[in-house]
Amino acid sequence: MKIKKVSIPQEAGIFLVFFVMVLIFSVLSENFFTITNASVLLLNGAIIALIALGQTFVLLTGGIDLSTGANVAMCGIIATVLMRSGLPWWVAAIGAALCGSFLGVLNGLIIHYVGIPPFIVTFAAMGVASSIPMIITRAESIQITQEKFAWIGQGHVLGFPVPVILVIIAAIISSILLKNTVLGTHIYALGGNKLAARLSGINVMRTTVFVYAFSGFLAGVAGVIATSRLNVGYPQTGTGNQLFYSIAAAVVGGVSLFGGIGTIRGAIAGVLLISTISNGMNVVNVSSYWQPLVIGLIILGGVSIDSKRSSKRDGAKSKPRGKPQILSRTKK
Amino acid sequence: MSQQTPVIELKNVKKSFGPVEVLKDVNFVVRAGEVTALVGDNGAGKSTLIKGLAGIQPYDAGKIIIEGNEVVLESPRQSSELGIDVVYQDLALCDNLDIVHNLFLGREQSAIGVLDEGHMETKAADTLTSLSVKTVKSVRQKVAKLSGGQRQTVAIARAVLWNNKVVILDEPTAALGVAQTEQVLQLVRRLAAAGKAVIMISHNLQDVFAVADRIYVLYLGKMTAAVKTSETTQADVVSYITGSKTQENFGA
Ligand SMILES: Nc1ncnc2c1ncn2[C@@H]1O[C@H](COP(=O)(O)OP(=O)(O)OP(=O)(O)O)[C@@H](O)[C@H]1O
Ligand SMILES: [Mg+2]
Repeated sequence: MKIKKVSIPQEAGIFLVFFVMVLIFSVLSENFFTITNASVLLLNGAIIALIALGQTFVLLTGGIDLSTGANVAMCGIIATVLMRSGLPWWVAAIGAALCGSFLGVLNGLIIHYVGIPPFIVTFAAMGVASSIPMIITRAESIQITQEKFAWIGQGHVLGFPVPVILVIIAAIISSILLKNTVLGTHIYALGGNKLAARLSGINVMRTTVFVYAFSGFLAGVAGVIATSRLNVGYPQTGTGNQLFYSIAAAVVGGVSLFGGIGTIRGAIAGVLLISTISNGMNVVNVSSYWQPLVIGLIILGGVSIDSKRSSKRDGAKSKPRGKPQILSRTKK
Repeated sequence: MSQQTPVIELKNVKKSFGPVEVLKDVNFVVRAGEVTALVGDNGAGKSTLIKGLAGIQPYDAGKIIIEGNEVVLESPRQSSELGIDVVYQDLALCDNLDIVHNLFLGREQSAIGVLDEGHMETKAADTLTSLSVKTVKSVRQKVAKLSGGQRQTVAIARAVLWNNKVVILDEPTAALGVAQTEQVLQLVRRLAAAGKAVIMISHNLQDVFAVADRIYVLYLGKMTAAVKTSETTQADVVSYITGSKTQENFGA
């Protein structure tokens, strides 16, 4: 078999599907291809984008972070509570994001030192993090005390919505971290061959803790944005389909659940696609009950392609690599 | 020159797993500029001996003397700081990274955490050239795309790049075809010619006789022979390995 030398970036396919989707939805509804809808799409996409970016880091090491959705809720309430305690809105926002990364640090430390699979650790953390805001608020919404806080979710800079700007900044930083830094190489190495990484003297603990902390931090930022957009502290913000959509976005964007493969560009392409599909279904009045079904099928398709690809990748080599590392013990 | 201090000297090292004694008072000497082969049947304790030197699995007792100084080896980092590098058969590389990143893994060149790709790329290419490696087209290829021999070459080049004094190869030719085996063996010779102490574990006596200066034989955890390749025969080495013969006056 002859393989063409011209390398087409893997994301090209996703962008193609994305444009096809845009076309289809535009034909189906005249409300789709409008500035108003574009901004709705981007704003909804911002939350998914942030947690998908963090998830990408975790997936690249061969882990998974199931706690991000709950973390969004927890950090949103923490921001609200911090403001009520009298802190300025921006201090509250930063504090909330830091609480998000603190949850990530705990995830990372437990995964590394106790050696429990990331799947289980972050699953447990999801429970903990979704309870905390409920306990704090007794399951009720709480009022936001500072008007200026709304700027984060609703403001504009040079005509661009602040959440979208935050996503762009986060994507650029993520991309630089992964592509141009020592840390980035170590993240890929960990997902590629953990034993080799360890034997090469890579600090596995620090790298693991970093990716979960980063994922937690971005979940915290997402929580602040979501709460600011609603302009009320609601203890279940982000615990809906967000986690589900963000993993779908990363996987569709070519980030491998088996670790070691994927790019920020791909993840962002995945976010655009998933957000477009979800938004498009709203615009053409597909019942919201159908949406997770469609996204679920998309995940399945994405993972099938991925596991085909990775079994082809490993087929010739001696290293057995049957199942995703997220399902196996992580230590050693 | 041959009487200079050995690079590595192990004296009476022991290692047990529970009640099982895997290494029994093993002595082992490795010299610079030589290829020292370590042979023995499956389960003889070769890998265990090497893991002690690599710092992955410290010995229970005995002395480790590196260039005349007694040292403690309890982590891979300590070993690599002393210039000892192990090339593991297929554990050593990350398939998803390119050759440059694999060569520099764990020791990347960077300024404030930002990779110096240009510098690393040049140095990687230079190293491969210095080893007369010509089969690798681009140092930016993913390792997953390389053949077994090329992978082994990259793994060995890693040790060379870091100017290690000791390069340990655990069955470097086990999975390779004839031509690739030949390439790797030539590479092994070049390492020794460059003044490094090379330890090679192998089950293939033909390979051993082709490159080794000295042969050490482990039999059930005991060192039963240490011979110069030029002063022995394959038949003798086979009998040491199977335990049907022990080197006369060994240990003297
Ligand atoms: N971690 C361990 N726990 C228990 N026993 C072990 C362990 N590692 C090795 N052994 C035992 O020690 C003995 C020597 O093993 P070792 O791997 O050193 O042999 P080897 O000479 O490298 O063999 P091979 O040629 O098959 O690679 C074997 O009997 C093995 O079962
Ligand atoms: Mg062995």
